[in-house]
Order: sequence, then structure tokens, then C-alpha cells
Amino acid sequence: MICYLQAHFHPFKKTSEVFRNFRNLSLRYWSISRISFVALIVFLSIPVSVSAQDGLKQEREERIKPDEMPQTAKKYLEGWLDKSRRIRYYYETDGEHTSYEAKLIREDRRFSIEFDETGNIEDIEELIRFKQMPDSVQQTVDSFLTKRYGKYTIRRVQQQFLVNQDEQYDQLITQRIENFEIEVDLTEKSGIQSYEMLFDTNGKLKQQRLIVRRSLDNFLY
Amino acid sequence: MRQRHSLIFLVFTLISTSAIAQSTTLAQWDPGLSFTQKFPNRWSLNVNTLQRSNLAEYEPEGTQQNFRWNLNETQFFATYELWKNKKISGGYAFQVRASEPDEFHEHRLMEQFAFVTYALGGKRIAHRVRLEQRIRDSELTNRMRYRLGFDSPLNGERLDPGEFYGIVTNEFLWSFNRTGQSGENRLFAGIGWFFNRQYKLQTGLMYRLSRRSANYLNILAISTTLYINNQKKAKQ
Repeated sequence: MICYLQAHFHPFKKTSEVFRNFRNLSLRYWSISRISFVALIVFLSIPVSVSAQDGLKQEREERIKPDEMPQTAKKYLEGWLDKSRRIRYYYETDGEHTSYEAKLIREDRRFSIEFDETGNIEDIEELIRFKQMPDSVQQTVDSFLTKRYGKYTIRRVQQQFLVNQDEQYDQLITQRIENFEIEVDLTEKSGIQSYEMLFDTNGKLKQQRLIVRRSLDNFLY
Repeated sequence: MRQRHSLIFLVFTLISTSAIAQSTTLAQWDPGLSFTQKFPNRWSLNVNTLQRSNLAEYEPEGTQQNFRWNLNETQFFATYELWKNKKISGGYAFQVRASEPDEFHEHRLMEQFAFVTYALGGKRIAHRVRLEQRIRDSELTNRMRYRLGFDSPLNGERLDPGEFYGIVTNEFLWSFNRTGQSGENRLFAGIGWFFNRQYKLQTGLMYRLSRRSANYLNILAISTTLYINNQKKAKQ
């Protein structure tokens, strides 16, 4: 092999000669490459069909029509709809737990109202900016993330309200905030990761979940 | 003057070309395969290959050519993730054409930077800037490319396994060397089937408009790519 390379890719040969030698190499391999290409696609398609079936058992979220929401949820939402815009309804399941969600904008505030399978309200979340959080919580969260991970980037913040079935928009006051849900990018030994972290109103971490993001390969290559 | 012409050409490539008198139209099929291996750090390697075939060709004189294999292009990339959704890559590609099937028609070196500016509600807007040095026997040509892309789940705000997504991209290409320069635009619209995090199949129509000598070349290509993404399973 080394002798072959020395003979064909001598460092003092002109560039054009080197490329000519590359061409000679391709003569040997190219004749089978077209067959290899087709064979590779067929071979790799086999596990695809199996994996696709596996994937269907995982979490699922889909947009639904208003009529498909549970009756109890529709009744609760009546108090919201007249002053809201961009109303969207979603159904979500992970195979065991099922929930319904209404997303809407009211007075330029973006809300997400989540219901259980029977239509009872579970929680209300509002999309906010990190700087809209109370200063003390901002500082505690920043201190926690900096100390544990160093550099980080906040991607999304939602404040969760504690609500009852009979409480409406007007009852969504700051005092009823229960948690802050924060999506953050940070660096770990395994690389750059994204987490969804739940902090209480004192800025203490309650739970965290790894977010697996979609690959960018269809944009990169 | 020439630069101004190139700029005007790039601006108008998105506009219908019905007014262009002298043009050749090609229908092509580009089946491809992309395999990415992600390592448990910031690095990933990719190899992708496509086989391009001409389905039909319509010359200004009215002549027509039927199906024939055109070229194979295979690319190798090493990618480093600078920060979330900001990646730099370096790569090498070779191209073999039907006109000289036993030789490399072209060797290519590539440098690229890709980043995402929007990623909420399952929708993403991504940018790719790429520099290429196309090494052919007769000449060296530089090419600058910028691609803007958008994809979104077709149902809901999250792309779940088994669901479809829509994708639209547009890319401007500017080639130049000592002897001249040329421009090209590639507009792609398609759908993808997201089997799971490892496999997805994307297909769509790509419209390429470029200038070849005094003529304009219109290419309508059916692009189909199977993306395979192999990575260490994330801890839940």
C-alpha cells in the first residue's frame, strides 16, 4: 500500500498528475459504486420500517377541532374565548396519560390551558420573558445555572398558575403563580444539551427533563 | 458592470422565468442518502451521496433527450457544534459524471456555518453559509452559497414519530474564478416523513435556475433523501 502511494502520489509531482492518479483509482471503484448505492438504500430501508412502527407507540401530540375537546373543558373555556384570539386546540398522549390543551392570546398574553382526559383543568401556563420573572427568582435561577453549568442560554420561560375549575382569567394574579418552567441550553460532559426545568417561586429547582431536539441534518447537508 | 448583472440576476431568479427566451429545461431525479454519526461530545460525521439522472431535456431548438444517468456526488463532513444549533463544518466531496464515468470530474473542499434563528412550536428557521473550492482538471472555481430554510410539523406543534413535516428552502449560489462568474438559485419545497429520531425520508421539488453561457438553464428536480441519524440515546 505504501509502495503504491509512493509510486502514484509522489510529493514532487504536479497537482494535475496527482488528480490523474485519483482518476485511475476511481476507475476501479466506480463501476461498483452505483450498485452499492442502490444496495445501501435497500439495506438501510429494512430497519426503517421496523423503527417506524416502534415510533408510533411513543408520545403523540396533534391539533384537534374545538368539537373534539371534552365538554367540561369547553364549558370552562367559554369565559376565555370572547376576548381571546389565535385559539388552537391540541390532544396529547404518551400512551398512558392523556390531556387536552387550548392555546390562545388574550390581551397580548400567550396562555396555554391544560385539561385532563375528562376536561378538568390541570394548570394554566403563560409565556413570558426571563426578565419578567421576579428579580429574586431571576437571581437565584441565574446563580444556580451558572454555578452548576457555567454558560447557559434561556430559550423559553413559562409561569404556571395554580387555578381551580371555577376560576377565570381575572383570577390569574401574580400571587397565584406556582412554578416557572424554563427551557435552557447548557453544556455538559456529553455535549450541549437542552433541559426543561421547573423552579418554584423561590427559584428552587423542583424537577428537570432532558429535551431531545430534532436533528438539523436536513438543513446542514 | 458584470457584478451588477450578477446581482440583478440573483434578485430576479425567484421571479417567473417565462419571459426568458433562450432557455433549456431539464427534468431531473435526485435520490440521495445521508448518514450522520453523532459522537457523545460536540462532534459529528456525515457522509451523503446522491445520484442525479436526467428524466428529460428540452433544448430551445425543440430537441428532447430521454432518461439518462447524469452524475454521482458524494460528500464527507466533520461538524462541530459551537453552541446549541450553531455548527461549523468542514468537508470534502467528489463528483463523477456520466460523460467521463471512469474519472473524478471534480474534487471539492467545503467550509460551512449553519445556525438556527427560530425554533419554537416545532417550527424552525435555519441558515447555512457555505464556501466551496471546486477543483477540476481545467480550473479552480470558488462558490459561495447561502441557504435559508424553514420546516414545520404538519400537525400540531411537535413533530412526533410517524408524522409528516413540511420544508421550504431557498439558496443563492455565486460562482467565480479568474475567467468569470455566474449565479444560481435553488428553491425547494417538500414534505418529510419523520419515522423516528434516527430515520426520516424527505422528498420534494427543487427548481434550479442558472445561467449557462448565453442561455438560462431551468431545472426541475424531484429530490428524495433518506436521512439516517445515529447517535447515543439520550438519558431521560
